[in-house]
Amino acid sequence: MILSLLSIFDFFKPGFFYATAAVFAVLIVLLLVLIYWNLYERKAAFFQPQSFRVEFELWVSKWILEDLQDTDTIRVPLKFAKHLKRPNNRQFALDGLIELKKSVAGAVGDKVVALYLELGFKEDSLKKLNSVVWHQKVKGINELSVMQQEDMNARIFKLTNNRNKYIRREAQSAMFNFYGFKGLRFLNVLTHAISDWQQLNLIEQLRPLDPEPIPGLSGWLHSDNDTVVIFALRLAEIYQCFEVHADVVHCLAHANEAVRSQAAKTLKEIADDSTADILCKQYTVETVRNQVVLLNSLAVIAGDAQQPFLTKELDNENAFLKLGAARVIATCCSNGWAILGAKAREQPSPFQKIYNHLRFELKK
Amino acid sequence: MKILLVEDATALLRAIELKLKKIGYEVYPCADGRQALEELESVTPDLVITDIMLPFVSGLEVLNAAKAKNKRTPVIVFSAMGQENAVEEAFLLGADDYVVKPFGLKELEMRIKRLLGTLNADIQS
Repeated sequence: MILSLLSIFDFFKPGFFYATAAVFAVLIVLLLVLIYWNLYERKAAFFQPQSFRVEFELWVSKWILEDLQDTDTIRVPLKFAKHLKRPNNRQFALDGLIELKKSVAGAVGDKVVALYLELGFKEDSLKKLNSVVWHQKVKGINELSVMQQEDMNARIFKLTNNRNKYIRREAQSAMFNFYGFKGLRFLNVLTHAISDWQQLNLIEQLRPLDPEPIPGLSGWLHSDNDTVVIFALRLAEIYQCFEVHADVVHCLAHANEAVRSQAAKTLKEIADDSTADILCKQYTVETVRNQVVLLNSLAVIAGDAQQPFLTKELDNENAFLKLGAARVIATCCSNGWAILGAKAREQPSPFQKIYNHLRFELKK
Repeated sequence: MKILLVEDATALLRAIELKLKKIGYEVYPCADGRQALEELESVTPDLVITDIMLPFVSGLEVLNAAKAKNKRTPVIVFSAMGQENAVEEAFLLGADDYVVKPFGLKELEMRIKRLLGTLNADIQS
């Protein structure tokens, strides 16, 4: 206590005060110099790559637009070699080529791939592919896929059933990108689920391809993986694969409600003379949710032959099913409106409302 | 002829810019929608090429601004796969053509020439 009082007292002595102030002043100056140096470094680090980036993009643009022969070699300017040693610059250059390849097709796209190989970016992508960090691996797969490095297909194929969903998803898209419908062979061995999002992505990727018989479709419809079955059913629906009608009917007996529901939707698109009766038979053993789906499918394919079944369903206790059956009668039976009119007179509540509702709905 | 080119992928922007300059067009490149709107205030382009998905201001707003300035200015929009709704909206706003990525630069050139009415002269020559 006495000591600390003494030191406070010492502080007010002129000599000690000036010495302390001088030390603080030096420290402040040092701090300012450090801040300035740091800002200078950052500025240099920002502007130097910026100029490299602009120059590199210009060089790439010029090169890909030049009319070169296959035998012409790419001469990478020396000034880029130094910059391309820095990881950030390399990734920037690679990202630029990837973006370009995604946007341009034809000969220019091929030149972008040639540049990717010449600049050694394939090795960068392979390093990422070998990484244990999942997002690096995903990036590596994506780069190889965009640059059409099909020779990597065996390694990427193994990742289509990876336990990490992001790696799996990217690898599946890559296989598809390489081989189109044939790339879907990963469905033969897939044990993990394909999410709805991934199914949509794959279907989106499929769209530009010409419809063709899908190899393996019949087998996928009998897969132990329910999501594979659902995806196969969606493919059969979109591409109207009539050849798998029997397999799709088989799916109506599946234990999974979602599979049965998708099968009912698919059958609407690949229906033959027997399909409407099959759906009516299925209706009797289905959950209410799937019964609604079945009625929606019947609304497209039913005919007068299903009228007795549908008329009976008008008496179903569930209002949704009642309305659904009435809708099918109105749209598919030749005397549908007469049947509904008679029912409305016989039992105004609720059939008059249903009748009016359908008149309004179907007029739209 | 003046072409306002709006594309946020700078590598692609430079490639197209260079291609169009080689053909002989005066190109005004913009890397985002906001820059394009600013450019439209000072330049009256003969043609606008814009990506739909852009930072800050969408390509549809650029299209709108271009058409508001001069209804007859032809506009080509770039779209990625699966942007049908946006393309439909672009046509409703007056877009004259669209190109789906990935596209060939030659294809783009043909579409530009058709819209600028110089394609026939090219064929005849």
